[in-house]
Amino acid sequence: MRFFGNTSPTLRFSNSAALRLGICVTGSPVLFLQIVKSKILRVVKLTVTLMLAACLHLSANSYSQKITLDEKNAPIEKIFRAINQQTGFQFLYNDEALKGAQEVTIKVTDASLEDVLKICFSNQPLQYIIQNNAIIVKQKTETRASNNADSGPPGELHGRVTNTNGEPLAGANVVIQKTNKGTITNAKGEFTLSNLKEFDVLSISFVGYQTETFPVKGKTNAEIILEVAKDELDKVVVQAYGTTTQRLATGNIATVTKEQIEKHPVMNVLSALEGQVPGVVVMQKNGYSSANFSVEIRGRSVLSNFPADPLYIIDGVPLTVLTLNAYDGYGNSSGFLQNGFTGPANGQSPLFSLDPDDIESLTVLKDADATAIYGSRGANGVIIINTKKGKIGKTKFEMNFYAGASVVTGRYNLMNTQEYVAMRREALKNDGLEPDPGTDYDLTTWDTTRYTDWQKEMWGGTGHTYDLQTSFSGGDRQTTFRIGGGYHRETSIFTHGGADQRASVQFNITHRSLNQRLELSLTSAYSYVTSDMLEVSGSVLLPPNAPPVFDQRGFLNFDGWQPVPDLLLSFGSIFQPYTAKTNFQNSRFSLQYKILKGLTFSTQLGYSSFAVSQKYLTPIISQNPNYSPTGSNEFGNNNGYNAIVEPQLDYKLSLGKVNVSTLVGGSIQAVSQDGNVVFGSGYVNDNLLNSIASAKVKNASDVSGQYKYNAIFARINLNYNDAYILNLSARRDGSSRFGPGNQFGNFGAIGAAWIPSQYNWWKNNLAFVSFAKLRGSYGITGSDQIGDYKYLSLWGAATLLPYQNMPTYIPLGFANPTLRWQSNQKLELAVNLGFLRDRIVTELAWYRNRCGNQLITYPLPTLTGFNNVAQNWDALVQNSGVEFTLTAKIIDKKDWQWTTSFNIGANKNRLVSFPNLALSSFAGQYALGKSLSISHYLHYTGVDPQTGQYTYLDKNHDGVLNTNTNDTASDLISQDFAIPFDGGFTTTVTYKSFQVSAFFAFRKQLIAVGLFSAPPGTLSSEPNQSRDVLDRWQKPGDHARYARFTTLPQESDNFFSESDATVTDGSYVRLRNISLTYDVPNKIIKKSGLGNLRIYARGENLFVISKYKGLDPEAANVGFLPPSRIFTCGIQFTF
Amino acid sequence: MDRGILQTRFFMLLCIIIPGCKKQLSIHPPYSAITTAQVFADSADAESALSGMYSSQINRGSINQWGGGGMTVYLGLSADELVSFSQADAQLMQFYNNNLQVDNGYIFNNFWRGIYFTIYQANAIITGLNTSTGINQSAKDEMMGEAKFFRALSYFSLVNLFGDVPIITSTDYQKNQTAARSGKSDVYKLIMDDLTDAQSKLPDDYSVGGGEKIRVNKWGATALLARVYLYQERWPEAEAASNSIISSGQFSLTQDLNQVFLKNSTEAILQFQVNSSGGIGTATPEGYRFVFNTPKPPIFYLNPSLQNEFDSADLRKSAWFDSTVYRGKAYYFPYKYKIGSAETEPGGDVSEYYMVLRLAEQYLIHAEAKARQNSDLAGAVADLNLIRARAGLDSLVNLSQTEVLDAVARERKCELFAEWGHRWFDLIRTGQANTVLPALKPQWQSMQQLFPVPALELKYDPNLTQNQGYP
Repeated sequence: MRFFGNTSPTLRFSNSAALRLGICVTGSPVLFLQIVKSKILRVVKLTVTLMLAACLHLSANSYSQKITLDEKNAPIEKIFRAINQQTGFQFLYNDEALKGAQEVTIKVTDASLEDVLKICFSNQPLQYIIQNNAIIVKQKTETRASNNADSGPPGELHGRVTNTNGEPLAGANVVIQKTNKGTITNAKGEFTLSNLKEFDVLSISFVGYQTETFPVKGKTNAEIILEVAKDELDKVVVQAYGTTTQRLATGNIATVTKEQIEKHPVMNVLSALEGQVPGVVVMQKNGYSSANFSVEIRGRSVLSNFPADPLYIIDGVPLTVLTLNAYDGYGNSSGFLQNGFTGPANGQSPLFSLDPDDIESLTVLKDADATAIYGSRGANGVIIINTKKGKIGKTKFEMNFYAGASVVTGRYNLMNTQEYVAMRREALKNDGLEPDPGTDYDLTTWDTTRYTDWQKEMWGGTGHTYDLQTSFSGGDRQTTFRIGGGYHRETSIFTHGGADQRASVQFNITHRSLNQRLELSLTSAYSYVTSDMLEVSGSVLLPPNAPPVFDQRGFLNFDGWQPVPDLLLSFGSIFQPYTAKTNFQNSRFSLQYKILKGLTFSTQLGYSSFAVSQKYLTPIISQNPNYSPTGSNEFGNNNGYNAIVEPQLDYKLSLGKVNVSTLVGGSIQAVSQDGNVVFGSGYVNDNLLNSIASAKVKNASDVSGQYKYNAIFARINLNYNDAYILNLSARRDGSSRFGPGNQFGNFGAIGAAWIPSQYNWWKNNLAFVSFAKLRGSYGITGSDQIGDYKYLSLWGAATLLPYQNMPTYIPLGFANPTLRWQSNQKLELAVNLGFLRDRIVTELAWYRNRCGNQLITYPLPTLTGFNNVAQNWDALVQNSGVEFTLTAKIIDKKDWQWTTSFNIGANKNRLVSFPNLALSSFAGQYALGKSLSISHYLHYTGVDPQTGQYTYLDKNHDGVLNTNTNDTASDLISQDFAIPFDGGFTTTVTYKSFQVSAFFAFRKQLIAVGLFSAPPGTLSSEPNQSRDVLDRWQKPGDHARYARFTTLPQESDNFFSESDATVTDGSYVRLRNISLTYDVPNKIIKKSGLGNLRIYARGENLFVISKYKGLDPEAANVGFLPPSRIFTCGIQFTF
Repeated sequence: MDRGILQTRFFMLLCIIIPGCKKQLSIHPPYSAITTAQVFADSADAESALSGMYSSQINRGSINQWGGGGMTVYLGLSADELVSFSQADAQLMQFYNNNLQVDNGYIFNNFWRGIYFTIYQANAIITGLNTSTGINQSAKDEMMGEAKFFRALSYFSLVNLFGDVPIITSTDYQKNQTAARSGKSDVYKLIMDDLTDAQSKLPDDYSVGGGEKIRVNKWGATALLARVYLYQERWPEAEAASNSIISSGQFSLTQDLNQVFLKNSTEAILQFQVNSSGGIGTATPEGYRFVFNTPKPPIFYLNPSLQNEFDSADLRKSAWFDSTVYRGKAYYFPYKYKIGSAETEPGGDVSEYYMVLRLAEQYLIHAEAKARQNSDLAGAVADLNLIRARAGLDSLVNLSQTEVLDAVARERKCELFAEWGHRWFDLIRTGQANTVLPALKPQWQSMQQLFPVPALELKYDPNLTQNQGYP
């Protein structure tokens, strides 16, 4: 095996018993390690333990140790040993490299490492790099090559490019600076250049690595080691079918790192995404952990109510979930639960099955250039999730555990019994009524002195969260691996509630052939999730004097709740368990073969599948015994798979300063999903309720669907000297969602970037702007998100009970064989700047997305037979906006670091054109020039001091409030609920071993506050009120905020909840997360055998600042569950 | 491996994969659905479309769908038959108070939308049969007749609930989405054409229903046609149509009042079959709603004004009324169907079917048609006496025309109460609504005799107009 030249190399560690850390950080191949010096066994033991650890985040660990040395003409290796003993820093070098080293004379006392190294290396043909706790020593580039008489003709140079792990870098660019001619490296990282002149200088670059230059000076052999780029701009970021860097990207790519994700003690990674990326609005449908999210990238672009989720790609496998049956309103898919039985959480998020701890990075692709190569599937943006992979190095074991508690963030200020009873009596008095024993049971039958705090009763509990993660990883030049497992359990703050649990395993293995040309990789994640839930039982707005929930025997107190035990039925859910068990796996096999220099064939085979089985029981015990109830149950199944094959050819070519990278490929995807529900009833006792076989009556329904998709695509990227970059992509997509003749569509995008900071004239004149890039992109993508089979006229069989023992068919809806691709035009212009040697990096992007030929579910009058039809509609919706991100290393010292980042995305949503809007089904709902999120309200004009009734603006003073949105004489006004801007702010301060970070999310928005479930004073199933309503009208002349109490609501009372009195500013700044971390210094843990030890505490959702007076702008309806506050503590270690 | 071979293979793979795209996109329909072409490919599948039509009436969605009890419940509230015990449901109370609003969800879902869905089913079946080549003519005729009967029943309900309504006779949404209202006479013309055609195509026995009265036959179409003539005051035709049923020899009044609503009773002309594996088990939708033999307040109880109408000797009071005592007060409810929510047995043997058309109504049509023509008052009285005799009441003699008509009205009220909204339609048809209802319903307004066209429907169909008096 060759390494560093022709001789058999040894990479040597200076060592000692004090050896502390760091080998794995540099990831040196285990095979090449040789531990020298005596006491080997003891050292090995300790070293292995310690080395296993190294990946923990101790890069901040200080250089603070002081060094004292007094040596004369000592061999440099001796100096290395001495430094190692005093500081723990370890030297990595190649015997060959030290051949030309000079002896060192040094005398220092309490000097810093950097100063000592400076002295030692001052006259050496060597250079060094400090990387984490290791010091890599190598020959200065000039001396790295050696003359060799056996090598080829004069002027020819053979070279090899590797990274610091010794992995060959295939496809690296090698350019002769003067002539701009060059080549790229082959699979082994080798290159050959001929006709070199003596004074030629080569420039060697590779994505994600720092570029090196190298004078030829007549050498014939060279070994070049590239180092991983560390600054924001040059780090590798994931792009569609490949990688790039922020410096060279022509599209809009935003990355959320594992460090950002792991700070949130949440079960679904999507809830860690809120506020992290500008232009991405994340909202969860309800408070259950497993509930689905709606993720909207750059505003709402469709008139349709159909879910417009971005494309999720997990390890290269698209997570396509069909919408077969259930979705509730705009953007809200029911996720994995498509059988129509959506459970208390109204669905289940597909990403709920993915362990956030397995995620290495989450990348959001927004503009046409970044997403175009995903074609139609990327029309709503793309989120690429890559899981953690093994790295070359010693096998390390990592473990992380945290536990925490959650409580409700606040409580509503509700009336107590005294106030409630007074309100009810006042209402009756206002109406001229006496309490009626039949209907005013709360005043006549129930104890009017009894008091129950229903908030405490219902959500006064404490939720618990536990999370344990373990993993092993490592590998050598040929094979790397990572295997991991995790377990998470959390319970909610409901007094009666369930628990969510997830167990997951993940593995990844990558193997390369000896000649490095063939690479095989298998990545797989498997998880098992159980969700035990109860429907939210009861209501906090129950009368405060309502009877107890349970009787003395512990049964539901139906008799005590006479005469309205039906109100109690909501508490029946305490005994009605719902369970969903989900198996999910996502696997990818990939094969890559470097056919020729620069030409790589690869293919990916991806397969993911899920199976959810659900059970919901309604035992007799949960029902009113007076009705002689029987038990019933519901069993559901949902299954789906997703298979994808993506063959690709990738060709890289260096034409000197112009680098060309081309990709052609195909994508074939098949998705199939089905689900069923069996409903059993007639159980005369509860014992057999878990068995469907014992049901007296069984009814079943099922859904199924298939979706196929294929594409061919090509991308060409031209890079001139890292200063001009052009990226062109084109593709042809076919989708099974359209009928014959309309299946295929052509799409494409162009992206370009100009990086003037590459030039000397810039560097000389504008040095403080260390990086400047102007980029732009334009493209057209399609969309087929309208549901499956919409072109096909179908009759549902077996959706109804048989008649006369015959199957029953009923028509399912209108078919539209003319459906075709929706078109999304995306335009983006952006400027990226780096200041102060890129310590401050900013991006300012402007975009304009226009979505036309809209695929919509067009509402129809039901006299046609159905209430909608899938249609292409010639309406144009525009989202335009500005996004800004800033990342700054404010302090970057050895002991002190302070980094901060800020992002904001502002979006303006507008219906640009809509032919014949006034005549269409959307008349009254949408308005030209306004956002799609408008709603219509009566304009509230206060309480009439004479009558005590609410009043509203009657535009034409005709004495009638016209609430018909269609009517030109309508008295309604519109309010825009589109989110004008939102964003986030993170700040992290590190002092030695301590790190504190805080993450704020903010959003500007209007919200509609659901005030009462019934007008104050009226007895309903939720009659209690906020204490605010005490400011009510009582007698003529009163100026009050609320109308008189009444039990006989008038139209004016009913209109109140439909008026703009309910619309308020719900903007907020929320401290989403605070994280305190302490990395226990090595000297303390040294003896314990641990490699690394970190202790941390985190708080989620700590406070919110908002003009909204209620509990929380995200739970604006009185009586709705406010979000919970979570505290966790954890410990993480490696060895 | 030789490099060249390897390269060739990779290229070949790519070349094979990419052109196969179009073929790769073919998908199978959902497992639980078939395409329209398949439905009408043979008569077995087409029959399933018909059974879907029947099943939709009583098994689809809410048990208050128009053809599955909705007509009885809501129109009973609107008229002077039923009272809702709970007043919590504001939309339901709008029926009782006769202050229906344009956004009433029951009107939209259970009437307008539900009825037009039935019309769509009928139209789809008629269109499918017309284009089908795989079904023999006799089967085609029979199914066509049934579809037309349902279309007629739907339009009959629509025209009496809403007045002028859009006539939809195709499944083409592009044309229909801008449909305007047609005059009542045009709607009735369609109804009569459909029923006459159905009469000619349907068999005159119950062979299609396997001997059970659960599929409409010639007599069903005739019975509805008799009612349609009556409503149009075409007395001779009404008399003739009802007479043909009475004299057909196929039906007779079931003498035991408790057996009238049993399945396939002698008096039944058309019933919808109850499938006990549904959510309401062996109960009919109305029995499930009305009958409460438990100490629980009834959901609906009989309006005292209806109870007072019955003669004290009337056997129908004991056979077709029952009561539950709640908090010391007796509440009477309709007890024509005996199986209520407490008696129902999921999966059990069914004893009652849901009555759609029965002989007693034909006698009353027969009587009224004769009386209106003032030609055979004695014959009219004879018809009435048959009904009265069964109810244990004395025979009437020597009545004037007005007296006969009053007797017919009273008998209709007592015999057909809580059945398909007969009472509501009779009140409007005979002009009694404005005299009878204001006394009971303080908020009564005459324009409430027609239901409002749902607001949402007006929003989506630009050519649709609202009934007079509604915003």
